[in-house]
Amino acid sequence: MARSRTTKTIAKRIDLGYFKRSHPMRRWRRVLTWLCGAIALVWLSMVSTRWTDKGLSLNDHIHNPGPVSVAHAMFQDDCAQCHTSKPGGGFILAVTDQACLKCHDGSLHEPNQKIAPEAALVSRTKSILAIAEPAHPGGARSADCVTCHIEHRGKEMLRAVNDAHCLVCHEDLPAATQNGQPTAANRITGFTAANHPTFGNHLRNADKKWVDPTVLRFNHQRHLELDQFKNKTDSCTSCHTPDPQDRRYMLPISYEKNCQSCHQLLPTPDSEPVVHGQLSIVRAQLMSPAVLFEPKLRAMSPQQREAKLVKQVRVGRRTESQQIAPEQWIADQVNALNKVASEWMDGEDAKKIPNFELIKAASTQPAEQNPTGPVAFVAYGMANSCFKCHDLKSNQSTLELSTLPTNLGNQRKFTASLFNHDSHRNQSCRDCHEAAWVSTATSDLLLPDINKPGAGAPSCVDCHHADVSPQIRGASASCVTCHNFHDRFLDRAVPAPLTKEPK
Amino acid sequence: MRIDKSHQSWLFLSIAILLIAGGWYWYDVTRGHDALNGPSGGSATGLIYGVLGTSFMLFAGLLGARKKVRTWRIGRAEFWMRGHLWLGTLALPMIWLHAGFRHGGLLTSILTWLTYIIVVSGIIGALFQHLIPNAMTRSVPDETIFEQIPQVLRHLAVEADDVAAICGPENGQDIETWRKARTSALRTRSTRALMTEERRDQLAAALATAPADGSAPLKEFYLRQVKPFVIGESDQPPLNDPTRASTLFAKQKVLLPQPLHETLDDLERICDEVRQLHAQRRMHHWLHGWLFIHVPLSMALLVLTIAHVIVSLRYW
Amino acid sequence: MTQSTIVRREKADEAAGLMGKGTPLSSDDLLKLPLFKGISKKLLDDNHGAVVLRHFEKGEVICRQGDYGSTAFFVLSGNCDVFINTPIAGVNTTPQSGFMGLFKKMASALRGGHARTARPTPTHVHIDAPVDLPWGDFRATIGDNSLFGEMTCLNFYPRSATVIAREPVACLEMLRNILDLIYRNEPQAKWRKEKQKFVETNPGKKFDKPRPEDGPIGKTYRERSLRNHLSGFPLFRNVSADFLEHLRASAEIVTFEPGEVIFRQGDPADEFYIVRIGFVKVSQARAGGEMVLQYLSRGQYFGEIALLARAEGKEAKRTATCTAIDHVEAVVINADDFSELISRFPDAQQQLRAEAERRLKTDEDLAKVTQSVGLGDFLDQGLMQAQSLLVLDLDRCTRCDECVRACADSHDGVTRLVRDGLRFDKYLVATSCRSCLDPVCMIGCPVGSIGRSDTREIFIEDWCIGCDLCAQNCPYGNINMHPFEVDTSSKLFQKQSPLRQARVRLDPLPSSLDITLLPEGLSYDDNGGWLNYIGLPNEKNRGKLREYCSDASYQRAIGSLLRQMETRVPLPILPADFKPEKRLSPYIQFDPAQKSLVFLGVITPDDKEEYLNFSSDNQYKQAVEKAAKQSFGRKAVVYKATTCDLCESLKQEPNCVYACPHEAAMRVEPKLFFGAK
Repeated sequence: MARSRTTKTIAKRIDLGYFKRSHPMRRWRRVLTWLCGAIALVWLSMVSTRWTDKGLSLNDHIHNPGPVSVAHAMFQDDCAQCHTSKPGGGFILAVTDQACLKCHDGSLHEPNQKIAPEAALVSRTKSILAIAEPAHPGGARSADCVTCHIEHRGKEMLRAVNDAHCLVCHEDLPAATQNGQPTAANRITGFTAANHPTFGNHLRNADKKWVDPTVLRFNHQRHLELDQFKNKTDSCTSCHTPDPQDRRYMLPISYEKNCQSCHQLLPTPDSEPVVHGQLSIVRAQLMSPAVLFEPKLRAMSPQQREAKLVKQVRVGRRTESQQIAPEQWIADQVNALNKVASEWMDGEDAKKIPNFELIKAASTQPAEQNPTGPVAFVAYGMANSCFKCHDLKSNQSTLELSTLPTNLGNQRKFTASLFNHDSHRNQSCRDCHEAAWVSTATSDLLLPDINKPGAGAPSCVDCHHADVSPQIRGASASCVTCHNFHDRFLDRAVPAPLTKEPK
Repeated sequence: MRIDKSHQSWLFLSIAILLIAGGWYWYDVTRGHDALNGPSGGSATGLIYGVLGTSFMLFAGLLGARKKVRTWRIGRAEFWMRGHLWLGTLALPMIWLHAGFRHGGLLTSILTWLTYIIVVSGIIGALFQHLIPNAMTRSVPDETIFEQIPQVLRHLAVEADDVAAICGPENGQDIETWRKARTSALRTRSTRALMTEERRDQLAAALATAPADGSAPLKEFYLRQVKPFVIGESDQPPLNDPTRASTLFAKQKVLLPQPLHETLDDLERICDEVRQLHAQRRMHHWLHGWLFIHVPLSMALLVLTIAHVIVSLRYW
Repeated sequence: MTQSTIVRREKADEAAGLMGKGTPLSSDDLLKLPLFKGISKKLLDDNHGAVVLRHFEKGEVICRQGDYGSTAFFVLSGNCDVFINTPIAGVNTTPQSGFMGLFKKMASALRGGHARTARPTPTHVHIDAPVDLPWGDFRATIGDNSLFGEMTCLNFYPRSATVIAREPVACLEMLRNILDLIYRNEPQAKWRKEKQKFVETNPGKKFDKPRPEDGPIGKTYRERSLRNHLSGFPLFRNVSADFLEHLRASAEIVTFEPGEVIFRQGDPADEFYIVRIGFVKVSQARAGGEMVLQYLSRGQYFGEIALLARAEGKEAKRTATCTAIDHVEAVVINADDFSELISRFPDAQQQLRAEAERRLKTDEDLAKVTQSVGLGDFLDQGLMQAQSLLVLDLDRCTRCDECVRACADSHDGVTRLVRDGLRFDKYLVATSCRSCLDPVCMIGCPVGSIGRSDTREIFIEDWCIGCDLCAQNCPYGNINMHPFEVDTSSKLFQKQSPLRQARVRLDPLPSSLDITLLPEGLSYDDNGGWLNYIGLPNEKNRGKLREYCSDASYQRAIGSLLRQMETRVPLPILPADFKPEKRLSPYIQFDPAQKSLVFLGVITPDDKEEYLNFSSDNQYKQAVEKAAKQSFGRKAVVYKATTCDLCESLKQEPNCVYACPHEAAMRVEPKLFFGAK
């Protein structure tokens, strides 16, 4: 009879109590389970307590729901700095304004915004986001910090305030303002041409055309076609260099730095350049020609000087060279110049200079009114130097040149924004300032617009648009990308509680 | 647990929960209460997701507790298992919605990662439970209780010895003493019903005439190959490989006279059973091994979740 | 003869050593006793030594429940206590007060209750003695002239109860041949055969010939048996004394040999039977062959269906065939007496009718499920027999063992199912009770604690004495003996040491150790290499354990195991009246080297009382008290048979199925389930 398996023989092999003694697999699973629970507990108690001088105390580190911003890193583990303690232990989740005001002053956004007399009246629905606070410049400050500022969301969230916060008022600004018309557009809902006012409204003339207040004459196109600039990487930066302080804006252009190397103020080729400065100074220089020629002569080597101080004198039929005195040479030069200047003044070229009549009038003034002398020469000299860039101011009786404003930094073109050239340094200049390559007039404003209609024109929304995604490259277009909420000019002086005596 | 048509209602329920929760989340973060500052675990919506996710996890975790009180009539274990599978999986999206798809601080990051590992290991486990029982049923027909495999292997070794006794004693033993000892052993065993009475009698009869004619090659084969394999001294080829083993036995059959063929067949079947049990052990390790990750980490998750709830309330 | 009977006989032979301890009586002495009056001297001489006189001191054990034996006892003088030591396992949780009580109540409600309300609690447990044990107390007294142990003697069944001398007792212990001599009554046997023939040939007519007189032995014996038997029988609870007296005179005690047919299906009926000894198979002839309806044991009756029909004036035909499985003795009540019984006592009639109806309905249900289908494995594995199978869908089963644990949880920590067995298709037919159509497990239970419910589940009652017979009888290995931990201070342990449980590490397993041959009670657990022992640490068992293997590591382990089983108490100064050389009890020894007392096994309160009597010395008494204190709370166990009752008591689906998390376990009716496949 062959081997057979029957239910009974199979069953009787089995030790019936086998399940009461756990198999290593089950035992280890159980051990591991309790161990894991224990490890979790131990870890918890280790990270949530710490030894201090007073003994064991709770450490709040464990609750931190996310990294705080870098600015607040100092009290990352010190919840009580921002959160109010509860009487029974623990803290209140919502942070009060008082906590923020310890360091920040929460300056007012806009003097004309609605201001609540007391905290209870601050309301988003009524667009009242400020509260009266006499200690603050303007008598008020922004209220309810935490409605806009979210902490524990990493570095950026604290500042990266959602547009929706801004739209509470800016969707319908008149409703949110008092004391007259709002300074900004009544309705701003997003960064598109349709929803956002165009840049630099103060730069527009009556025809709504952008006009640069600058009254110098400069032809970008011409310059960019010069050999030293054409298709060069530093074609722009050789003149427009960033401010080394914050690299945010370009330094102002100045004659000495940017123009002089090419455009010397030479009344005649043989003269010394005139020093760039006030018109009176220039005129003074031109009226004492010796000043223009004498240094030149002095700078020459003896051989050159000797060669220069020779005058061809006609003796009978032949011409012979005569040594002359330097004073004589200077006088000759001045005379020759005067002659050329007089002819030029009567010629057609001079008439092309704007407001030439003014110059002529000044040049032809009687000697008693204008005792300093050779008037035609002055005009001629100015035409060859000053007027290349400057125009005469036409609306003034005194003779004065139009000049570039000297405090350019305070007259930014985007008055409300935080535009930073350095942040855009990976763009080429031409990406935004393409207009420079075709601009011939200084009055052309060579800026990109939000969204300039027409092909090829660069615009902000090329990069800054709302639907940024890995597929659609670009940069953020939220309000705070470009705008500051709090008006820093209205900041109050904050006592600095952070500066303690060093331990 | 096998996921089949009977899971339809759970599937629909899960999809419904997911859709409702996801839809509400979308509404909440685009135009609802959390549209301004984005989703947060502390907002009303976030809290609801947190409570939902935690209760799903707790329900899933309660399966372990349910298994401790098997006789309580608190719903069929199978119902709890279904809940464990579906709600446990659903806990992850709920936690995502709760956290707004962020990991947050240290504690919450650990919680989220634990959840990932637990859910993934659970899904892997469920996959195993679909595949391995099937494979085991097919390839291990002589399957026994996993914990009893060593015991059964010992019984098989004894049985093989009994079967091979037809070849006579090992060298040097006095045949009469040997025969007596073996017969009495057989009789003792039979009362424990390790073999049928008929077979006991047959083996005892074989003992009386042992060694059988022409059994020398069988004895050699048994001692050299079969015995070491059966008692577990060697898990080497050829006997651990079914094809090679059957070839080997077929070869042996040629060497043996007809009356011993049955003995050889018995040995082959015993070897086969031993091999099957080895395979069962391996498969069982896979079938239950994933629990070593799933269960202990669930415990850690439970502890930390409680901590999370407590500290969150502390800061409420 | 069946295989298990052989086994029983072998075991009985082993136990037969007892006979040697008494004084053999000569035939002259015997004939002086009323019991043997009328038996020929020659016959008694022939059987010299088959009956011995034995004296028992007060408190001495005459026989122990569950032991195998082959003798019967006849008490000559003195009273004996009869009881079964069987702590109830799986009883109701007692309600507790306070918070924990409330919790437990809630838990109990959640569990669906543990109450075994499915079956009415019986009033008595029928044992192999002229008395029945009242339920709950399980003890009774038997006095002079009582004959007990007949079942054991005739059929080699295990002893059904423990008998202890309450006072000095003298009794006869006899083998089966003596018992046969007592029973024999040739004229009556002849008369019976004649009567049967007459009834068969003349249906409906009355057999007029009067029954021959009882022999002198038979008379006393029969009367006593009947008196005890009938009055303890629930059927006769409300029957008046005069009728009982009448029955005692008219009823007969009839014996049947194994295999003898008592009556056949379709026979005309004129008798009512109550089983007194042995087992009766009730079967019907069906299209597919013989179909077993029921096994009847001591205290159960049969033949009522036809007689009830007759009382209503219908045709009185036997509805089933009844066959003696082994040596059967039945009380036979003739049809007239039966008619009188049911007409005079409506309570008895009602009981009989209810039982008859129940039986007919069960038969009908059985008939329905015997519409057979299936071939091959189905037949081979005996699935045909099964009414209800626990099957596991192996494609779903993750082998998590929850079913086994659930089973254990609902049954006091022991499992009634083994998750191993043969397969049918992709289903594992787990080793758990199949509620066979022919429940052979029911044959031979000495205390009748195994039964079949109306809904056909096999159940084993709590008063099981752990004799192992049903487990042997089950062809599928579905009945298992389980050790149950018990309270050692329980009064039920009177005079009987419970088994001790201990375990010890044996790692590595010596190569010479064959775990299939371990001594009884010892088992090896591969998981961690534990040797588990459940047994009595008496001298004989200790010897068996020690001798089993000579390997040093095994010997060390056994040494430590046995030490665990002892309680040692120092006794530096030996009391004068304490005689260490005299064996006081198998479970108490004196170790002269260590000057200490060694108590083996668990000391029950009764043991303590007994030990205290051994000496009046104060130090000794203190030592015993100390040992008893140390011994309490140690693990003590009793064996009980368990089988799956389909959680019938829960009245809900079985816990194994309920607890399966993977929908793999199911209880199926095999013919429908596999038939549909």
